[in-house]
Amino acid sequence: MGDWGYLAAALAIGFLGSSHCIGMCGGIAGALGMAIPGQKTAWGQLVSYSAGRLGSYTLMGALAGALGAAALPALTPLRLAAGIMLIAMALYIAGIWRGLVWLEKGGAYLWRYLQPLSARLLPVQSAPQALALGGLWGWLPCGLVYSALAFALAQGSSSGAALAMLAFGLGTVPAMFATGAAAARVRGFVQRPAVRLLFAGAILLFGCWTIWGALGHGSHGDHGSAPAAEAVEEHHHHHH
Amino acid sequence: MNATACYHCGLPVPAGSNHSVNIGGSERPMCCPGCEAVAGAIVSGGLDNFYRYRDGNSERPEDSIAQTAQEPDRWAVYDLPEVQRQFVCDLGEGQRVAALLIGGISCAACVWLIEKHLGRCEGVDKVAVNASTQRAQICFDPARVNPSQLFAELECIGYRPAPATAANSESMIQREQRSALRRLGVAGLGTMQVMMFAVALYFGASSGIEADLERYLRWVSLLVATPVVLYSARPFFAAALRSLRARHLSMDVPVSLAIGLAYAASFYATVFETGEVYFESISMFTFFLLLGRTIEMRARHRAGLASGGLAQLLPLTAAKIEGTEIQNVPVAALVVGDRILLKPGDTIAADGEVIDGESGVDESLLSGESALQQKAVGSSVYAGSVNGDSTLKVRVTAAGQATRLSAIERLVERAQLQKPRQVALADRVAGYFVGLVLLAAIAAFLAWWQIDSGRAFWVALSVLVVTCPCALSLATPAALASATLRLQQMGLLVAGGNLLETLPRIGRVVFDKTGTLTRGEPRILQIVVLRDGWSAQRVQDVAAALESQTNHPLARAFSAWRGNLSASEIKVYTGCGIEGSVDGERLRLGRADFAAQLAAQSAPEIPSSEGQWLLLADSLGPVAWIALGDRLRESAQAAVAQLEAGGLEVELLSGDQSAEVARLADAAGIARFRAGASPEQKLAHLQQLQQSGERVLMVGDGLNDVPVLSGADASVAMMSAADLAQSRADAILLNGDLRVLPQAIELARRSRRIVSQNLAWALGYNALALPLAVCGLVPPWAAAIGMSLSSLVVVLNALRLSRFRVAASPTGEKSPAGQVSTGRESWS
Repeated sequence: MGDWGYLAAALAIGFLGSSHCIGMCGGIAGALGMAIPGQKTAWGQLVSYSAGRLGSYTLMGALAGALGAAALPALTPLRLAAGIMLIAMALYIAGIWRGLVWLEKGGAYLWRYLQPLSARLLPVQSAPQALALGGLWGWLPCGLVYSALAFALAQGSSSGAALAMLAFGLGTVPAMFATGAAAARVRGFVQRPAVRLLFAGAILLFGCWTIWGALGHGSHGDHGSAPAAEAVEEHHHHHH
Repeated sequence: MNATACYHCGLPVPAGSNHSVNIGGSERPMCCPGCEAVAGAIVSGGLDNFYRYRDGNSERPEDSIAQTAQEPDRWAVYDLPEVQRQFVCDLGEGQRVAALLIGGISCAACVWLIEKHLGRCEGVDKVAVNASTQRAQICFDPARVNPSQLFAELECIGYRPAPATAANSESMIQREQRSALRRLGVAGLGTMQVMMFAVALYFGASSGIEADLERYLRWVSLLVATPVVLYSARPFFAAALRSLRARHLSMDVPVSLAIGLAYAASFYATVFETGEVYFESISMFTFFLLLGRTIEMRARHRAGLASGGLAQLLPLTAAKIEGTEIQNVPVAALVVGDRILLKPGDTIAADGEVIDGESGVDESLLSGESALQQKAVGSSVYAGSVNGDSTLKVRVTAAGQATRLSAIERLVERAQLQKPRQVALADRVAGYFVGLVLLAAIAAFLAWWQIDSGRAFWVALSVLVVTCPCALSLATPAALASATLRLQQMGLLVAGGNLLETLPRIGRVVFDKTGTLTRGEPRILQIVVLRDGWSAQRVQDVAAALESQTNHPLARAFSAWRGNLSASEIKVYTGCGIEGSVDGERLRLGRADFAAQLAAQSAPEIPSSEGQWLLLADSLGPVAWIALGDRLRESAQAAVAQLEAGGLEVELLSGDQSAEVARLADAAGIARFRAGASPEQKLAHLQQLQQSGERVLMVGDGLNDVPVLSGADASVAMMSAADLAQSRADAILLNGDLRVLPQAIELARRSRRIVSQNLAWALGYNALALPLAVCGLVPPWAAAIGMSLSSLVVVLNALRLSRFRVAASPTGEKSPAGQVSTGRESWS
């Protein structure tokens, strides 16, 4: 089960963290004209859009993972950093400390170059367009993605990190697919302070576990949440 | 606590944050760079309308949730007066009519359900749904109910409503066709695969098969049949559910029940390795049913696309005069009192009164009269007519749904409502049969429960499968679909569901003159030479030379005579005629007073015989009269002869003067004709015929025919007819070949025979199979084969219609379709 642990963790981070971005991205299907109230939802486009986004995340993960693999001796500090990032994310979601905004501002520089490209794809009219747009919008400045990226980077291998980001992306899919009336209801629920605190607490726990694992405790633990370099290697063999 | 909310995501904006995006002209606060980026991208993509229409506007999330929970908010945009104007018409006295397009209508039962359900709603007075156009006319009281509530009610019973605008109907048609094709494709592929496995299983059952192989084949069959049931057959389940919700048994109920139960039983049999599997029957049945419905739907859509409706005839914008400026405004925004500018060739967007200018206007759409009507200051003009030759300024007196054009359409719709709903009736009768089958299955189950409880389920299923009304429910539509397709290949597009049922009973065919018997192409009827020294030949040559450089419809009359003469200095006087030099001599051809003016003379008296008279004159005075007239269609004579040979009475009913009508009737070989009939008189004549027990097929074109077309037992419009008439007629003759008419009647007679053969077969089969199945003598696998075979027989029999040939094969008339008027008498 260990090899699935870090994927499950990434999935959970994506799911819990999307409470942060459901307001931001949950209604996006409507904004893109794929789910206008009173019209039939263009599920094909919605799926393509998500596929594009997940593709970008996976690519990001692969790049970050390659970086992590290159810095393999420094894996422990990397994992520590990832844990700290997750904790920062939790504080961000809870609205306690918004340090990650600075990272997002950094990401916004990159976005400045990508945004004009995306404007050309709007409004979305076909599935390939939605795919391209999703691919671009995966690079939106988002603290949640950066935390997940740090987590993926700490896996120490390109393919492992790519998979982790894919799992993270899958975790955010439910929020993206909530359209129309459902989106409003879901949003109303997850944006309640208590719910946000609960989700933030869960991510905080993930951060703590990551740090715990980095300090050499969790590598053979049977709780699936703690990531472990060995586990990643194992997973590697299973799937390649 | 109550911090500013992020305009995009609704979360509180933290103090000290300074992210914002300009949306709709004002800076909106954003909570984070992410929201800022998304909102920026949305705005730069031109999609900021999203923020206006998104549900649950984030200003106060609680409110929005409460609203969306109640749903009407979704449709609230349709309550806005400017949006309503596009599809709602005010009748006055607290009554409005909304025209809606309803997606998901599959049969007459849907019509019944929608009319029943909406009719029960508070504030709804009358509902009329047309299954073939998928349009609903809902008469409601705006004080008691809003359009948005009507939308919500329709959605609540499972339909997808939209305002009936041209763009909406087109996109709906495309969506429906795509999904139908996908379903059909899945069912087709699945059926082929499962049939292959089934053959192996059949043989295995008789010759012994290895248990492992059998199990494997069954599992693969299950795998392939599952998408067929869950995806392809979904429309049947949805329709069955709807009809059940309306407490009504449609054919979809046992169809769904059989598919569902057979699938469930086969699934059970596969998993627990006991009993029979029916995957091939399920797939095949689904495929054939879908095929029939898809063909039927495509024909319906084709017809619908060709017609469009009134809204499409009107322009989208009008040139509004604002002080000294001309502004293009949407037609929907025109109100009484606006002044609009009409250039030559413009379609008039609203009813109005001419305040400046003088012009000829083509009102053929409204009156069927093809000659241009001269309009001067103070004359009335009507929406849908076309300005002919010079610029007009018009003050709007009625716009939108208040125009005469709309009034005529409503008249037509009322006429349509009077048609009997044979299809709905047939479906309701079928409901009783369905009930009987269900009762029989239950009875068989209960009886066998006493006799041998282990066999009860399988016997009941056998009953349901073997008597499954597939053959019955396919008998009529398969034949009709096949005949419809064949008619389409012959050039007759069927637009009304009842055409094939009524055609065989037709006893009399009534033609309307304009555009039905004639080709819509003018030619020279007669030349009267007034000047010594001129021959008719020379008159023709000179006229042809003058006309050679214009592309006016009337000019075509001369094209055959284009000789070696050539004209120079040609000048076209709009509304009057043409002036030019031939062999150094100045000549005029056109309206008598205009041509005579060249010699400063007054116009001579127009000859009294038929045709449209043009005067040729030079500087010395009138030279010759030329009479132009329309030609009979080449196919008219043969068509009339064939119709009469088939035992039908043929009649010509026309609004034109008697001389012209007599000439045409004589040329076409029609003995009975009536001239100078107004639309009211035509309708009265038609009703008189119908009261004497005669069934009448009306062949016509033009808007003035429409009440008559709708009132007739069956109606055919020519392709060259005004769009409106096409959409009301039961069929549209695409190639202009009238000989298709007798062939269509023959085909309809044959399809009636095929329908009765099919029904006889289906009833006979069921009558034989039902008792056997109830007695437990039919093993389920035999029931499945029997069912599949019985529907196959029905379909193959119906397919014979698509190879229908008539001894004299139709050769398309070479005339190009699409000339509406028989020559606009304008000189533009």
